[in-house]
Amino acid sequence: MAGIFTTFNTARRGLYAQQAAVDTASHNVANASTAGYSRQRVQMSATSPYNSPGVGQIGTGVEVSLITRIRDSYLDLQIRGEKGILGEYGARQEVLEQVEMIFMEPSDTGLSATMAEMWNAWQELSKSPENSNARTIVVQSAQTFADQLNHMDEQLTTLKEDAIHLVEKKVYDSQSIFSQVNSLNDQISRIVAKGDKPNDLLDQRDLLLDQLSSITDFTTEEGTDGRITIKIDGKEMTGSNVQYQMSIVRDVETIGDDVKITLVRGGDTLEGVQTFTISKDEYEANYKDLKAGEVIFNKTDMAKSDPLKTDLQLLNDGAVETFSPNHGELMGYYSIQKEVDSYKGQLDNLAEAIAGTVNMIHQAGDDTQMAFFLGDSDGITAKNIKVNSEIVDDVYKINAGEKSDSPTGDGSRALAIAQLRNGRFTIHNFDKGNLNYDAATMKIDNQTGGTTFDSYYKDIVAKLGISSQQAGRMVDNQESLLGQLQQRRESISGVSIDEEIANLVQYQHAYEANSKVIATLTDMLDTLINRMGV
Amino acid sequence: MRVTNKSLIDNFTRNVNRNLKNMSKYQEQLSSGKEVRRPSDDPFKATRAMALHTSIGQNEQYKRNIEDSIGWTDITDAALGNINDDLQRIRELVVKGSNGTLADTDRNAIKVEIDQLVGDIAQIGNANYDGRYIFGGQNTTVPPFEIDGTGALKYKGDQGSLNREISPNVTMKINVHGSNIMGNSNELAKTLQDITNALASGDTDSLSKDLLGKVDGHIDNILRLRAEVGAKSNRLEAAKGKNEAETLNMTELLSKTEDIDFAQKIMEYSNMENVYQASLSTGAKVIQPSLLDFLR
Repeated sequence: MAGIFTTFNTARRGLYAQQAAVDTASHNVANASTAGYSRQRVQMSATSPYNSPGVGQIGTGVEVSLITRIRDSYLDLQIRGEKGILGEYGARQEVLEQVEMIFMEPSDTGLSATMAEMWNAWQELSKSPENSNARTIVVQSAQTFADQLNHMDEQLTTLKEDAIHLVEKKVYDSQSIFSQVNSLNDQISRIVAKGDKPNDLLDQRDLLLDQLSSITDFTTEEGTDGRITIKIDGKEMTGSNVQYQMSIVRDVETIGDDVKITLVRGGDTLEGVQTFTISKDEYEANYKDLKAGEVIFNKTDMAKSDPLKTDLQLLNDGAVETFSPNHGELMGYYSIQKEVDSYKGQLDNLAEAIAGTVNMIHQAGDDTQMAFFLGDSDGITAKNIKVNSEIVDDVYKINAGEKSDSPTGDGSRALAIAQLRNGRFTIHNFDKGNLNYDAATMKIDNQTGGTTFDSYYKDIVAKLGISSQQAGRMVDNQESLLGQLQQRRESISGVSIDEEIANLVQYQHAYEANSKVIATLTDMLDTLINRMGV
Repeated sequence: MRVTNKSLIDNFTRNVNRNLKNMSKYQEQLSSGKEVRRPSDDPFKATRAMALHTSIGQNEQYKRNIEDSIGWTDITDAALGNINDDLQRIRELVVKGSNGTLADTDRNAIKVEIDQLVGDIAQIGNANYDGRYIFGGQNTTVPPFEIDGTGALKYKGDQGSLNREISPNVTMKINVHGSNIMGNSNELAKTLQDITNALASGDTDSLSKDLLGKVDGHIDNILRLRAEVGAKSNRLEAAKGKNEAETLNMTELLSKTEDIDFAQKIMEYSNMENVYQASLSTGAKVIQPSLLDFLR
């Protein structure tokens, strides 16, 4: 027969267990608003009973066997997947909205309106070529058009650079997440080795993985010691065997016969910037995938500088290779840069085509005559198109008439230029060598499969609109979907204050009951010790 | 499904946000009067609106061209009318001068009047529109007609055409140049010169037959030119009518594409406002109470 002191133990165990339960409830309530927190539950189990011969098994009380966190890890996987897609389209939407603001259509101030005013100015010139006013207006409207193209190109370039800076920051964030996960892994493995569950640390690690999933897609492997290894593109980014780091190509510049590549290692814009200068041939042979904005992997031990090695050898040592994420913000910003490049290219085509056709008529098909639009030595693009400064200085140098010695009232060449508005040319792969100029009519033949300048520009805007609309719709859909998944997670892992308070009341009663037991035992002992006998 | 306080608040926030976003969209549309503010709002409507704006703008330019040309042809017609009047008067004088019974002084008086009329014709020939000489061909800055040292009418302009585009790829020549008025190889100048010489020498024979016939010929020429100008004028008026009708149609279409229907929008907006207020008030009722309010 067990003594009263054994019963004391039972009651004492009860008190401790309830106290632990109250502690856990208090912990839950305190963390009700903590991001990523999963509610914890105390698992109590009865302690091994005492075998009393003849009587049977007598219970010995309760112990807290485990404090678990309530979390559905499959749901975590789903949420991470959807966050990746949201990250991707969110990034695209962000940049595309800015591209739309650059184009500013439909409006009275967009490129479409500026082009229209330019053609109108040529019409007015054809009607009064004797009038210097009409000539000045042609120059001014053409300059406005060229300036607007220059400006739009510049803004698109800046937007691309901003996107690259954002990617640098995201890469840096990822690297920081890897190192945080590493230190959490260490702490977790120590506790798991003791056989306990480090719930709060696990929550923190899961939160970091959620954040990472917005940035890029990855896989995880769980070790028996509770460590998690994050793998991106098959390469380990955490753990003791990390050989690679994520970096980004900030810029690739051609200087003469050399190519200068600027890397930002680990996304660290302060300390991680490293440049390599290699020859064009070497670049074309092995590294032509490296373009501005590419995310790459390189060996962490790639030397920053080595007096005995050339830049090419350093690059080769670094085992630099490109990385294409499937989802996440990295993918979003990467794909959007390609798209911005395509818009820039199309504006370039437009500039080249308008300049080429106007010049051809202005020069009567002879390259040595005065051109109306100029670019630079590589040709005419949206970035460099401008009105010939000789014409800006002297508006009478505009060839409005058929010949240079035509009477002052001859505006026929200006009329031919104005009529380019309705001409159809293959702008998407414009080559002024393919144009057919008829000296008698001063006109350029329409090209089969060609479109008007207005149509071409409208197509650019239409594509932009559709792309942006799609990104916006995907973001809305994903936010909805993610909202539902997060609601499910909240329903499983979230802290319900009402529930915790109710539990608190329950544990409090149990604690009171246990302490009542102790009080009763005290009385019994008192009777035993003090009242029995003399 | 277990519902926690946090999920109630999350739902509340999400719904209120969504309603605010919708209200904001209606507000934007109402204050700008336009359905589409950016291409992504509705790409097809946006590009349609752009195309219509461009076409309307182009049409406006053609209208300016047409009105300019109408002004030009009106002045041309008036000038040709005046020249016709002068030639008619010259004809009368030629008939009068061919009367054999006239004295030398009388014939001289007629000669003087005819000289004046030739000068008048030159002056009419130098008519201008908006600072440009209308009969000079492409030589619009130099007066095309003058009386030279011998008293003869002379045309100094060229035979160039002045073309105007009145609709896409349709151009029209709007001018009459001085050579048309002068007839083949400057016949008019020679005829007028011959008339004054015949009057001076008293050659009534050639006056009554040969020269009278030639004057008639020139009058016919001017009438023919006037008919041509008249036809041009009609064509321009027709083009203007068509242009205005097209612009009207396109403007209507643009309005249908681009502009909002105010009545409908305001209804939709009030509806959304009600939804927003409902979501706020029910949300407020749901998120406030908790068990702690009831435990003493």
